[in-house]
Amino acid sequence: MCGKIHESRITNVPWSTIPAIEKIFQKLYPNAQFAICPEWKQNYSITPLNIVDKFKDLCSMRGLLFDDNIQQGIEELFSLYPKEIYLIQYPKAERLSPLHFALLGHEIGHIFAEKWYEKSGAQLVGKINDEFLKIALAEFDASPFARQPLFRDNMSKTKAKQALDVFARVIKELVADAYGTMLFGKAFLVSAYLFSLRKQIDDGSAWESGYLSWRYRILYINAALGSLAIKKPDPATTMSIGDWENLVEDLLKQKPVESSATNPYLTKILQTHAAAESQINDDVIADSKDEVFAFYLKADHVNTVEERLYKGITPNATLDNDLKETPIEFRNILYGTFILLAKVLKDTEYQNYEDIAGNINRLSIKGIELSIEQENFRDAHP
Amino acid sequence: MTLTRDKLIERLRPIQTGGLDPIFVTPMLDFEDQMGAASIDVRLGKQFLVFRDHVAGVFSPAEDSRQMLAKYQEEIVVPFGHGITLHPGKLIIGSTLEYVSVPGDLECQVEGRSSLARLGLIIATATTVEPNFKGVITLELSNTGTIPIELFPGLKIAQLLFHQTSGNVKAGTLASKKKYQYSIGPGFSKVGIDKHIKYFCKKR
Repeated sequence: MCGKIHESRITNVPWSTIPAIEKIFQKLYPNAQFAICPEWKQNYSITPLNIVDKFKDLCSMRGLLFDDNIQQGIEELFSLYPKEIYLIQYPKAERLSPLHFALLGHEIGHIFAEKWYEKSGAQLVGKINDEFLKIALAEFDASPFARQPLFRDNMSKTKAKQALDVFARVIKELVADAYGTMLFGKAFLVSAYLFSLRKQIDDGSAWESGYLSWRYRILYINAALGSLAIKKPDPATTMSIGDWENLVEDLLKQKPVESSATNPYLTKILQTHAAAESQINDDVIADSKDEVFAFYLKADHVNTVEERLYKGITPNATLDNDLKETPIEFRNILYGTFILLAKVLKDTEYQNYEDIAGNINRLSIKGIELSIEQENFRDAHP
Repeated sequence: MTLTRDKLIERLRPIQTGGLDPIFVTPMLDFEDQMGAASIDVRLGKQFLVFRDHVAGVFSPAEDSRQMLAKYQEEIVVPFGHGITLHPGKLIIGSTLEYVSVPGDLECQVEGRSSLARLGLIIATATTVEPNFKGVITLELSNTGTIPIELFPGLKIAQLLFHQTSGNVKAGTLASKKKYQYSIGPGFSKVGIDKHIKYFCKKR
């Protein structure tokens, strides 16, 4: 881990956009902080377990203590630091891309997912464990091992336990997706879509590690968006994302591979999740502390972002004819950026798209940095 | 012809008449404070390039600019409320906090502030910004005095003067590959990509 943090030099991290993430993060988790570090892989991840606790455990190991005062010293040392620190890793290649913003919503969601599973997930566990056991017993009885009844209980219980672990991984990923959707709305949907283009969209082979196919997840995100829109009625939740609507719509026409899955464990996991979906959305919103994207989206701000980017201007603020600047909340900057990128993608030859998209992304990143500075200055000088 | 305060305010309005483009200087954290009689004050940004004197050898303009980046410079960020010390005889590259867009019929001049010049601070050697430039303005900060100067991001560091040109330069597009267009932070020298640079820098 120290090696990872060592790599977190300015040239490797999205420093200009971190304050915006911090602002949200601190509202959601006032006692926590995060460290961000780059990865060479095309992957976003988080250590959903608080690393302060891990260090405390390490320091408290009996073998390391040769003086009682040390234990007290350790407590004093840790009192200087935040109670919780999480380590977020992101692909270095995305340093100048607003894409990472929305995907970090999923990673932040993992902190909630972990806590949610401990609390609310426990209610599901007992029920689904019985179901898994039934499946495992039936499997055993149909297998060549059926002639060895001595192993029946043990082998079935082991299998059910493994299935339960898979269930935990799958449901935590989906809860984190719901959280990202709640924080970033359709910008999260677009980011997931763009990310899926780099992978096999219908590859569901890693489900046992918790990763359903991207098509399944995008369908789920889309459904969660609808659900969140109902619970937080606001025109912003249904705001169009321009040409992305058609692309996503095309994607939604096909069913995910999981819908025809024959694995009884996977089927049961998905059924259990579907039954809990409404509760998950309620819990996600309850935990949001008013960070639901819909509260921050303004159609006129999104339009301004698009216009300014098109003219090659940073989209940090609106400017009225009395020369008063109003900072634009960064979720509007994300929406405007994605909408313009879709238009550029549609109208430009691919070679030009790379250049233009590069400039749009950089201006968007700068806009996010400046809007936060403007907000902070305004708050300090009311 | 230099634009005076009234004309500047007119050109800063987002809606212009007569097909002219507006001047953009954003963010203006304190509009009244930043507007001068014929200039706009701009602040120091948070990002700097410092030189790695201890590892760098002689700089040659003919070198590949990507290699130069890692070899000669280090990017640092100084948050608001923190300072960076500029020692006598040293140079660091900074930029304005503000993103600036110069319309096609104007040219912009970057001038240092007298208050800081009296301490020995030189803020830019390339002071002319061409029509249609868009980006943060890179500042070559050097201390020609004898005492170290502490610089703080957000400090009013320079002023922009706008002059009317005799013609109107056509605006570029977002696909522009001009060297420093759409810059969002201080940029290291790109002299290495100048036309004919290899010819003139090759030892014979």
